[in-house]
Amino acid sequence: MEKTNIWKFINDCNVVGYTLIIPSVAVGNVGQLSCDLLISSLNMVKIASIYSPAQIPVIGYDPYDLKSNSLSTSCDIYISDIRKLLVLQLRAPLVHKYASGFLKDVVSTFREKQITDVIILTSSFAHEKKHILSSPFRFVASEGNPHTQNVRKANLVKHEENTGEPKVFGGGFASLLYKICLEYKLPCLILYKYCSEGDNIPDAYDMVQNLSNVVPIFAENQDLLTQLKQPVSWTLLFGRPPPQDIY
Amino acid sequence: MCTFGEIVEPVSRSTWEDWDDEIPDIASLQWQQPLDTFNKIETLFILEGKFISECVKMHPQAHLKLINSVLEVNLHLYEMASNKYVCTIKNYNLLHSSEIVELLKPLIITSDNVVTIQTKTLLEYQTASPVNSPLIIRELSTSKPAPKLWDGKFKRLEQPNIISGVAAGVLCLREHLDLSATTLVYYIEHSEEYQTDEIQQILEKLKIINSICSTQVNGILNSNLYI
Repeated sequence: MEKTNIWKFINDCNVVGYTLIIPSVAVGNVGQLSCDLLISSLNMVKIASIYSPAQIPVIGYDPYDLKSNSLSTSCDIYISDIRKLLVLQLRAPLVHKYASGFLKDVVSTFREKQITDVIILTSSFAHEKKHILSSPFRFVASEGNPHTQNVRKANLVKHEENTGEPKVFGGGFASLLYKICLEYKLPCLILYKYCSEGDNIPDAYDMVQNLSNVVPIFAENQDLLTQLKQPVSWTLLFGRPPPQDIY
Repeated sequence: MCTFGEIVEPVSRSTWEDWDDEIPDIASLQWQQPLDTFNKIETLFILEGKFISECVKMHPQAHLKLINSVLEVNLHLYEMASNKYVCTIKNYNLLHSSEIVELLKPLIITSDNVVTIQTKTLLEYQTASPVNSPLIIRELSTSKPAPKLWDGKFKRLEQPNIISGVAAGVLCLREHLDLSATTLVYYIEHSEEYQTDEIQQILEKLKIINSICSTQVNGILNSNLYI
């Protein structure tokens, strides 16, 4: 059976020199929540979506605008022209069997479109953190990464690795995507946070804050929290209000 | 449960497969018989969920001809009169959803119209207002408008509610091909009760079943006395 990905471009704009942010579906969905926060806060515009057998299918109406009639699927791509930023938002885990092919397609397509680099946002199991007094954030940067200087300025802790290949436990496909980016000679940065399952919204805020120290996404002369806007789809994240009959 | 002293590491709610270990690939699915080529399909109905599948099974199926199956995922494909097809599916692994959609692709692409119906428990329906009804029906359609097969209009599926699985995959594929499709989601209180009237009514309107069965509860069939 031929497995093909179908790209649907709403707006095939020029993305030369852009940074692509991809969340890896991981512990507490921190990467995805952070991307939701970025899309909502920066009023990013949807430019494309991808149908792929590698995705567990999910569909609903626009999660950022309740009045919109446009559909949102497992994989949508958003753009911020002002910040030269692309976000590929994933709303479901990838199927391992087909993930590599899908990720290669994503990386090769954006490489052809001449983006500058890829940033992978992910998370790792809190119990994997060895130095408990250190920052919960870690990074892995490939050679020639355009953000190296900012990473150093932000005092981020480097991921410790003995095996040669970065392995983020609980980090989903982050390591695989990093490897694919290296294969395609596209600079890549993994930024991850040690955390546990629960209410991971604070982790997403933390992640966006650390990301904005590396990539200038938000205005520096304003408080970051005032610039962040939660997407409307985050309401009822933990279910409906209790039924009135119980009182 | 774990044995004394055993370290049980927490698992993530977000991953179906543990990417940290070697993952055995899920087995590929295939039709029991080679799938015929379809020249023209007027409407393809995809009925997803245990109770809606059983509802079709419980009714006389003289007008439905079983033409193919994928037993691993309880998928059955029936042919109806006038170039219409019905596919029922239940109790499948969510990881198989996209592969099932790929199996159905020749039918999904050829069909003029696709309608999927899915049942979910009322508890899954997210809303800030109190839910007083035992049944909530919501509709989700592609950007390209689909021809209407029933009277009236159902309310659209409001965020943060979303659908997943085969129905979502079918709608997603049709959307990416600029084709029309509609999904009806039935949030039902008693998901054990396959004879929910409203589900039977829509199936009768779509001519998938011929008549509505009595909703008299069969105590023996619905009890947990027999497996």
